[in-house]
Parts: sequence; structure tokens; C-alpha cells
Amino acid sequence: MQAFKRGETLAFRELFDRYKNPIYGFVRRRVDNPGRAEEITQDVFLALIQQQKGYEVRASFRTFLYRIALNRVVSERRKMAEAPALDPEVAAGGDIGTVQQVREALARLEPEQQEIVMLREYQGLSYQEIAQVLNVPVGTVRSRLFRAKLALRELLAPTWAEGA
Amino acid sequence: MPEHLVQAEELQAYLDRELAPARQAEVERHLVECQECSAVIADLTRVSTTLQQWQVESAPATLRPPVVSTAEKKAGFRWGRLALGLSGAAVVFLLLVAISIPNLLRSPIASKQASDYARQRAAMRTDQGMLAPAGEEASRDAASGIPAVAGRFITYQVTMTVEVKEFDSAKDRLRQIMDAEGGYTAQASFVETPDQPRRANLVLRVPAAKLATILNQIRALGRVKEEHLNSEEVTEQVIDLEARLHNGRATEQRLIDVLNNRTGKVLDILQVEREIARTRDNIERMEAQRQNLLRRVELATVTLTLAEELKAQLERAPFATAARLRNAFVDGYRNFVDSALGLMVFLVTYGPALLLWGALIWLAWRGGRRLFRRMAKPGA
Repeated sequence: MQAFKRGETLAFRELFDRYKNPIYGFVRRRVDNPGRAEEITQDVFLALIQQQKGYEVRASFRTFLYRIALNRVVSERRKMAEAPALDPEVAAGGDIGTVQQVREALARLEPEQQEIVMLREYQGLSYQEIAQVLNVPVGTVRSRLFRAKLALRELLAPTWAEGA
Repeated sequence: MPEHLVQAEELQAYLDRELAPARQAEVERHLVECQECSAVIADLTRVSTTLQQWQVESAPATLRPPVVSTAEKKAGFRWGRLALGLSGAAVVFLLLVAISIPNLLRSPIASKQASDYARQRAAMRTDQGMLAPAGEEASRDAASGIPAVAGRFITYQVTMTVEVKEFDSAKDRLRQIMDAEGGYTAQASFVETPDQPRRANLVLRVPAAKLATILNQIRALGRVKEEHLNSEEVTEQVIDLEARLHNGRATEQRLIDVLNNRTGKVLDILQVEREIARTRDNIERMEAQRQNLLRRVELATVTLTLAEELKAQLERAPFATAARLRNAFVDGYRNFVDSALGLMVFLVTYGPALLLWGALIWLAWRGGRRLFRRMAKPGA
């Protein structure tokens, strides 16, 4: 029993260290407040412990974790719709103006397209993994991603013109 | 872009390397020729580059992993640890079932295939005689490099007794045969006692493909007094072992894949590693069995007794004269000593009792005799 406990702790610690940055980044791009993003990230790992019995071996662990994270973000957005967050802080690295335009362009996409683009571009998930996280067919992921990128091309074209 | 062989959606999938390798190569070739698609690719790449401008900071140092007990409290589940343990066991069980089911399904199939293969081989069999000369009917299995008759795997055991006139030269000749034909002596014992013909008991391992040739040469050493040959076909055993080895290796590879793509807990990983060790152990045991079996097929066993003929005839004459007289003298002396010792032992054992009873009988006889005389005197 002691060995089981030790194994459990070690395994969880390893997972936490491996995924804390990707999950925080995932949450941070969707939640303006960094403190709140940190809390949600911790909630995601807490939920991981609570929901581990629902985890199927056949599914990728990464997919399982991102599904939890996505559910937490959706839940957070619902709360924020009722009580908007105070003093939003834009998560930014790189050129502030470009980042703002990227955020605005992403915000103008269909919600499904936006999630697919962000999971692909920022989390590096494969089409298969995105399909599992969002529970849609792989073909749908491919077509929505392409349409989203074409839409972004139109939305970001002014940025390129300014840069040029 | 309906006129294009490449669908528009495939361009993004091409960038993300999500197409099948063949299709990926086709799109690549198309892009060399099609400027329009190349322009789309450039735009899509630029979109990705621009999106990458939005970077976020790493997770703050204050972000700590939640404590397991906290998770249980929040979950409101009193037996949280037990639940975690049970879920872990369920994961292990599912893992083992997932690994075992394909194997269980495959084993009967492989077994059936092996049986069918053996039956086909048996149908092809032609009576070629047990000891086909090397190079004529014996052949070498192309797949395994092991000698077999018409594709069958057969082990041979021969038992022979050969009486030779010149024992030493026969031994030398036998050694030459072994060296020339690539055989070796696995066991050897020589018996040389006075007044007895010499004998050599040998176990030879010889290439099965040359068995007939070697036996002919051994027969030429002298007069064959005894010869037996046993053969056993082990084709089915070899095929069955091959099938089981194939299954074992496939199972091991699946387990290694599971380990490489590990998504479970440390306990699960340890369980998988134990399964890998167990499977490897089985594979090595089967490989050893297979090697042993193939070696028995490759090398036939000849148990040979070389007996000296000439010595046996010469020994009889001296034994009939001098040895017989000497033996009679020795036997007479032994009988004398034995009987003298027996008498002494008898006297020591029964002497006192005999003396006592003899004295009593003598006194009784004398007393009886006196009494009889008195009664016989007239006037008494």
C-alpha cells in the first residue's frame, strides 16, 4: 500500500512537471487574468486526480488532459459572462500591436474554428488529437482549420501591410 | 480550385504533415508546378508565423501540484485512495486484456496454420528410405538452413556394434572419418581388461545430411553384429515453436510500444515492465528449445560399440590349461581353509554343551549298565 502511494505521487508529479506549462499556456490564452489562469490550471490537475478512473488507456493522456482543461475554461467563461473580470491583463510576448491584432482576429473566428486553430498552433496537437478533444471527426478538423486559416489570412492582411 | 489535382484543404494538411506519405509527396510535386497553390502555402505559413507572435509567459513558480489528500477532500469522497487504487487496477486489467485478446485470437490461428502446413508436408512425403545418401534425397531447408528430408525436420538415432580385427587401426580410422565428415565424439569410454577383448563405447554426433555415408564407412571397419535406427519427425514441433515465438515477439513489441507511449501511472508502467520481462523470459526459453531441436535435426546421434575380434579368440586357449589348474589349486586351498575354520567355529560354539551332555550320557550309561549286571547275577 505504501509502495502504491509512492508510485501514485511520483507519477502525478512527473505528469504535473511535464504538462504544467502547456496547460497554463492553454488557459492563459483564454483567460485574461494571470492569477485566475493559475487557479484554473491547478483546478485542471485537481480534476485529473478526481477523474482518473474515467481515463481510458486507449485515449491519449494529452487528449484527456486538454479535455479537462477545455471544460474548465468553458466553465470559467460562463462565470465571466455573469460577472466580467476586473482589470484584464493581456498575456503577451513579442510585438504588442501584432499580438493585439492576432487576438482580435482569433476572436472574430467562429468559436469552433478558433479552438481548432489554437489547439493546432499553440498546443501543437495533431488533427487526431484535436478531433478527440473537441469530439468531432478528423475530416471536420481539417476543413475547419483550413477555412479558419483562410479567414485569418484576410483578417491579418492589414497587419502585414503595416509591417511592409 | 476545382481544376487542381490537389484539394485546397490538403494544402494546410500538407503544411501540418498530416497527409499520408505518398500524398504528401504528390502535393510537394504539384507545388513545384503550381504557382497559385504555392502562393496559398506561403500565405498559410505567414498566418502561422503571425499567430506565433502571441506568446504567453511560463507557468508561475507559485503554481504547485495539488496534494492528493486535497483532491480527495474536494471530491468529497471518503475512500478516494481506495477508488484511485481500484481504478488503477482496472486500468492494468484493461491493459492486460487489450494485450492478451489479439494474442489469444492469433494463437489458434497460428496453431491451425502450423497443422495445415505439417499436413501439406506429410502429403508431399515420398518414401525415400530411412538412410538416404547425402546429396541425393537429403536436402537443406532454404528458410532455416537446417538439413531436412523433402522439407521435413527429422531426428536420427543409430545404435551399432561392430567387431573389428585391428582395434587400434579401427579407432584411428574412425577418428579420420569424423574429421573428414565434420562429426565429433560426444562421449567415449574404453574397456581393456586382461583376458578380455578390448571394447570402445562411443557416442558420435554426425551431420544428418552425411549420415548414410558415415554409416557405410563405419560398417567397412569390420563385421556389423548389431544395428538399429530410430527416426522421429519433429516438423510440427518446429513449426509450432516458430509460431509461438512469433506471437511472443509480437506481444513483446506491443508491450514496448505501450511503455514508449505510456500514459498511465507508475504502477501501471511497472506492471508493463514486469510483463515485458516475463515475455522475454518465455521467448528466450522457446528460442533455446528451438535451437536444441534444430541441433538434434542437424546432427544425428550414433551410439557405436567397437569390439575387438582377434583378442577374443586367442584368450580361450591359455584359459583352458594353466589357468584352469591354477584356479583348481586356489579353489582347493580356499575349501580347506574354509572347512577348517568352520570346524573351529563349530567346536567353539557347541563344544561346551556337547561335553556336558556327553558326560551326562556316559554316566547314565555306566550307571544303567551296573544296575543291569546286578539284577542279572543269580541269587541277587
